Amino acid sequence: MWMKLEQVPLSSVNRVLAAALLAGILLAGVLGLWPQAVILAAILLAGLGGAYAARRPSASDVHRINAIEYRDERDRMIARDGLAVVGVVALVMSLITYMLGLVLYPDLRWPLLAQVVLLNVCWGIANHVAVRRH
Amino acid sequence: MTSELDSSKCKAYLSRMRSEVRRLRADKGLSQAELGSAVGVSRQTINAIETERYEPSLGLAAKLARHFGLSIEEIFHVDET
Repeated sequence: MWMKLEQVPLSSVNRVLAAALLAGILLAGVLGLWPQAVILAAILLAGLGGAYAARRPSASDVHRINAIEYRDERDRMIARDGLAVVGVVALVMSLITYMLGLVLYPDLRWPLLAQVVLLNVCWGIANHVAVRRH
Repeated sequence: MTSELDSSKCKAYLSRMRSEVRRLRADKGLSQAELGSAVGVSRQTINAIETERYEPSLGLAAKLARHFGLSIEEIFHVDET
């Protein structure tokens, strides 16, 4: 009756995203934050719909890449290029957010600093893994 | 001097891989989707290889060569002009 995780017709990244969204929906429900639960549920349904549509043979490459449902090496290469840009923007934005936070929201300085550190640690680990792989 | 340097730089960037994939596929009467399915890639990837927008990995080049019963060198040619 129950599917094994690897049998779920979604990429591993989408499985993690779906699980995180489900957890968020449950948490919002438990806390009584119904508008947030509905928003998260809508994001989950839209994401699942997009991912399933991207797995059809007729789906375009852009659709597959946007839905994180890669079919082959070219999809993965294009996605890496796209996510590399996102990574640079995230690193810069996190620094800007931290500096703005120091001035405008001093109470948030530690979470904002943690975000900067976490992103940079992720970058370092990703580079280390990539160098070992290639 | 400068133009020589520029020229050698350009040469490096201009080296491209031509492929016989389109001709071989047409000879076999296969669609891009059918060939893609046979070697485990999408129709768009076959199209990108045929139009020289994408250079396949060694693994994919080997799969394509095996599919057509040829060597990689018979399907892919590196131009350095």
